Parts: sequence; structure tokens; C-alpha cells
Amino acid sequence: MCTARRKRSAMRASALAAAAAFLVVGTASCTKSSSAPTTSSSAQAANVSADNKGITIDFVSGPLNDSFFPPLYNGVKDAAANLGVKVNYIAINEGNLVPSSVQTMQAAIAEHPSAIVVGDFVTSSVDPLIKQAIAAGIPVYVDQSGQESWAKDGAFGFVGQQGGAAGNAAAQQMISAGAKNVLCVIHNAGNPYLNQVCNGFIATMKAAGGTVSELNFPISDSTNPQKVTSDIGAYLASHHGIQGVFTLNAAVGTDAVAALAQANLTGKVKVGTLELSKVAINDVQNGTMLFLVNEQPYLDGYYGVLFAYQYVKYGLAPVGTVNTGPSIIDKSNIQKVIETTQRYPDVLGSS
Amino acid sequence: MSTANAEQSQAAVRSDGYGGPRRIGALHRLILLPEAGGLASAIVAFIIFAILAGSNGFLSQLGTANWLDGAAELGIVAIPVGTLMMAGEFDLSVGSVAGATSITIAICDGYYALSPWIGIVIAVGIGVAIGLLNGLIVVKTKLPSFIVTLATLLMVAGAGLGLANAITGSSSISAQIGGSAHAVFASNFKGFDISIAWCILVAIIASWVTRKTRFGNWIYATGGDVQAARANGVPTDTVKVILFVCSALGAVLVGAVETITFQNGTTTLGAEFDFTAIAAAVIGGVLLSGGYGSTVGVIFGSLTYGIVSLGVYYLGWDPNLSQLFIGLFMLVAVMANNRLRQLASGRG
Repeated sequence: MCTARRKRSAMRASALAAAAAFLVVGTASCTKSSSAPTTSSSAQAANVSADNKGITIDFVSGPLNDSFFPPLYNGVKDAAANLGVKVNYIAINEGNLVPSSVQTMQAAIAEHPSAIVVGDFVTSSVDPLIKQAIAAGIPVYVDQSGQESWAKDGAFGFVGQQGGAAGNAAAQQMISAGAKNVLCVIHNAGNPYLNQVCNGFIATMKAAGGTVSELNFPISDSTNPQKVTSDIGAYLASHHGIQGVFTLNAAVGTDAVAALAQANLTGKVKVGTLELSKVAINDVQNGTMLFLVNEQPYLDGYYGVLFAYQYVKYGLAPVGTVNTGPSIIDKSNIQKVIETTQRYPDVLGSS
Repeated sequence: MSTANAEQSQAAVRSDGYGGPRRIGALHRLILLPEAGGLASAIVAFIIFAILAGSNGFLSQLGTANWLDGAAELGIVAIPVGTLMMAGEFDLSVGSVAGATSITIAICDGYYALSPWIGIVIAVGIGVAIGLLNGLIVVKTKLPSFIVTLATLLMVAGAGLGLANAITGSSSISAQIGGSAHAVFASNFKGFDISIAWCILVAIIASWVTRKTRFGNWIYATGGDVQAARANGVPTDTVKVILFVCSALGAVLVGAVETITFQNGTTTLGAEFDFTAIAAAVIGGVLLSGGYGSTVGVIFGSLTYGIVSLGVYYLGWDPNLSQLFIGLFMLVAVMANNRLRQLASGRG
């Protein structure tokens, strides 16, 4: 770009800055218009919202490039639109989980909203900040992860799925299908919540006399389906006698199904996964996937905003924890899931 | 080797902007410094976010602490990585060194209940070893450091994960460290972390070395034209190996700071630094091909990254777009910088 004379180039540098500012404003207005359809709910909602305008909720949770979170985010948006409250969704960067969990929570505290809803994924790092927020007069509601610590942090409640319970439920499914030598695949090594799920899975399995091995990937690998498929395939090739594979997100689950197909093990090795996706739903329907554990993340998002709103406005909240999962999806109830995905594609899981 | 020769070579090879001919006024001279682009990006970023997010807490004391802490942690890694880049080499392994440090400290403290200082000393040893390994492989084999350190990144990350799982059965270990180690690495004053002081200390040392010492001249000479530098008696291999060790030690320091501050050790801690440290250095005016740049510029680059990457949280926009915006800003900053550098080198 650079054969201009010196004066002009100095001007161009400032033009660049201006362009940046312009783009900033541009993106801002884009955002506004693109989120408009979500407020379409009903005229009634608009009436209710009049005195809710002053309520702001910061929702600190996972990034939308992780397939788990878009339905959660849609729940957040729908609740915000229906209630007429302002929600700032602050996304944690999973590639930098621990520092980012802390920084996002610090940002939320600095904004001083009416309430914070937080996914407490790294309890040892985030708990002190939950206490700090509460000390600063911001009520905190813990969402989706942090079931062990929300009460002692002084949060006013928890909605989500107990990681251990999800693991227990998955192990039950494997056991009933006769798989007792099983693999638990952790796609984001170092994520304590996923470890918790796996530990719950191991506990139930061991109690029933089964054995569990673990396969860990860094998050960067887990976003590469080819890599995941061949990794799982290689593991199964070198570890004979594995009867079941339990994965912790739908993409990795469907990759496991693909790995089995490549190795001619379909049907011989059972696959179950946390989370839903269109492909995973198809796999359950055609029998290549045994079960899905649904945390119902849309509810995590919707209830998180709803409960925070009711607490800010009226001081009311459900007592204790509200469990959104584990809800098991298998061949017996897949039909309803398919109908819902067709009508409301963004509510259940990634497409 | 003849030191007289080496001294002579510095004037010839050096192209960092300080040694160039002074033919213009003071204001122009400021623009032509290698840190000017970084300074401008940081100021522009701050103004944009102050306007757009100032009322949302970005300008509050906590908000300021929030992005300053992030920038300081990045700066601790980016300054030595940037200095290494000035000498013409990359280090992509810093993220996994930070992760290895983190898990080492957490295993020693959280699992074996040893003094955290033992973990820190072991981590420093690991850091020095990895830095030496990187440096020696690069200078002995002449392979691109990009590839060599990418390989060490994977090896260190894999070894860390394997060891952690083998020893403790988990890759995320809580480390509730108090006492003197907490005071040194994790003190906090009204939201401002001690990492800011560490970053300033690293910056002062690095600036002094690069600008006031013969070793500093060697760095620019090595990065500018390694053949010419060597012909003039600059020990380019030693320079590179020392800088590789320094960049690993920067990663160890930030790993210790983050682990003790966040009270949690994971093997993946710091993985982002592999790219953000290089981004901060480039925004700060360091040339990817070496031989040009300044540590002060890297600090401004880190500040810019801190402001932009944490400032987006205060905007309240669609979170889908935050990465788009960070990327866009980086691009504009680097383009503006490139323009300034061409002005500086008289190629405008």
C-alpha cells in the first residue's frame, strides 16, 4: 500500500485509525440490528419490561465457539428479551481457561451490574471472585458449573447439572448395555468440570465391577475432527477389549462413532456422549450412538437470567439447586427431540 | 574474538532506529522511534474503549486493574519473546513452559504439600533446561526456530499432561498457596496485581540490556545480519541461547504468577501466550524477521492487547463478534506500525 509521499502517508495513518473507529461503530450497529429478532417475543413482554429497564445482568460463561454454549446463549437472549432486562454475556476463552475465567469475572465485577450469573468452571480461581462480588454488593447466581462451592461462596443459588451425576447416569447406561470395559474421553485436558463428569462415570463403573481408562486431548486437538477420529481409532486399535466409549461433547462423540465405523467396530463398541447435536441425534436414531446426556443448556441460560432477575427485583429465588440434567436421550425418546430440533433448531444443541 | 571488531560491527549492522542518522526535528524523531507504533496503538485503543465502554466500568479502578493485570502478565512473556525476535528467532514453546511451571508448582504444593518455593525452584530448572534445549538445537542444527520450538511446545505440553495424570490422576490441581510465595507472586493492591511490578522490572532490565550494553548491540546485530555479525566477532550462538533461556524464564515467571494468583495449576495454563506474545511484540513494532524493535514498544504492544482483549467484555456487544473485533484491531495496529516503520527507514 505504500508508494505515497511522506505527508500523505501520515494522513493515511490517521485515516487507518478513523477507519478502525468507523468499523467499531459499524459493528455496534450491526449487533443491535442482528439481535432485534430475538425481542420479537410478544407485546405483553414489552409492557412488563418498562420498569425492568434498569436491571442489568452480567452472564459470565463459556465461548460460543464451543458447541455447548450457543443453546445456553439463546436461552440467555430469550430470557433477556422476554423480561426486558439488559444482559451482557461475557465469554470465557477456553483456550486460556484459568486466567480467562478470572479476568472475565473481574470485568463483570468492575461493571457493577445488578447481578452476576457465572459458570464457575475453575472453582479454586473463581470462588474468591464470587465472594468479592458479593462483598461489593452484587448478588451472584452460579450457573452450570460450581455445584460444590456455590453455597459456601454465598451465592444465592445454582442451576445446572451436577457433573458427577451426569457421569453416574452415563455409566448406568453403559452398564445396562453390557459395556464394562470403557473409555472416557476428555477433550479439554485441565477442565475441572469435565474431570468431575469422568470421575462420576468411573465411580459408578467401578462400583459395578467395570474398568475405565481415560484419553485426554488438549482443547486445540478436540476442534479438529480428523485428529479426534484417528486418535480414538488408534486408541481402540491398540487397546483391545474396550466395549464402550463415553465422550464429553457431541462432536467428539460423533467422531468416536466415525472412528468405530472405520475400524469395523460399529455395534460392538457402544458410544454415549454428553451434549446434543444434529449428527449425534441422527446417530442415536440409526443406532450407532447408544445415548446422549442432555444438560439442557438452553434452560441453564434462561433460568440463570430469570432467577437473577427475580432475585434482584423481588428477592426471590428457588431454594438450593435446580437440576437441568442429566436427562437421558436414547432410542425410546428420540422422536420428540427430532421434532423439537426441526421446529426450534437453536434450542437443543448445535446443528 | 576481538571486541574492537565487534564494537565496529554494531554501528554497521544495527538498524533498530536508535542508531540511524538524525536528520529531522524532535516530533518527527518521536514518530520514527521503533516504539512509536506501539505507543500510538495503545493510546488509540484506550481512547476507543474509554468512549465506548467507559460508562460500563472500563475506566473504573477495578476495570483499569483488570486490563492492566492482563497486559502485565502478557508483557512478562512478550518482552523476552520480543527480544528474542529482535535477535531473529521465535519461541513458540513459552505457553507450554508456563503450563509446565503451573502444574509443577501445583503438584509440589497441592499434592505433595511441599513448600511452594521447592516447586518454583524446580520450575526454574525446567525452564532453563527447555530454554537451553531450544537454543542449542536451533544454533547447532540451523533449523528454523519456529519448527524447533513448535516441537518443544508439543513435547513439553505432552510430558506435563502425562506426568500430571500419572502422579495425581488429574490435569487440574488446586494450589492454595499463601505465605512468602504468595506475597512475591500474587500480592494484590486494590485489584492491581503484583504482576504489574514484575512486568515493569522485566521491562527495565530488558531495556537497559538492549539499549545500554554491548550484549544489547549484539542482539540487534544478530537479528539484523547474522553472517555480518559473526564475521565481526559477535558470538551470535551464545546470544541466541541466552535469549532462549530468558524467554523460557519469562514463561516460568508468568506461570508462577498465574498459578499462585489463580490458586490453580493446569497443564494448559498460558497456552495462549504462544501467539499473544508474538502478537504483542509485533504490535509493539518488533520486526518478524529480526534486527528491529524495542522492549518499550513490546510493553505498548502488550498494553494494546490487554486493552482490546479485555475491553471487549465491557462493550456488552454480541459475544460472537469479540474475536472479530480483537483480530480487526490487531490488523489495523500492525498495518499502522508497518507504515511508521517504512517512514522510519526512509522507504515511505
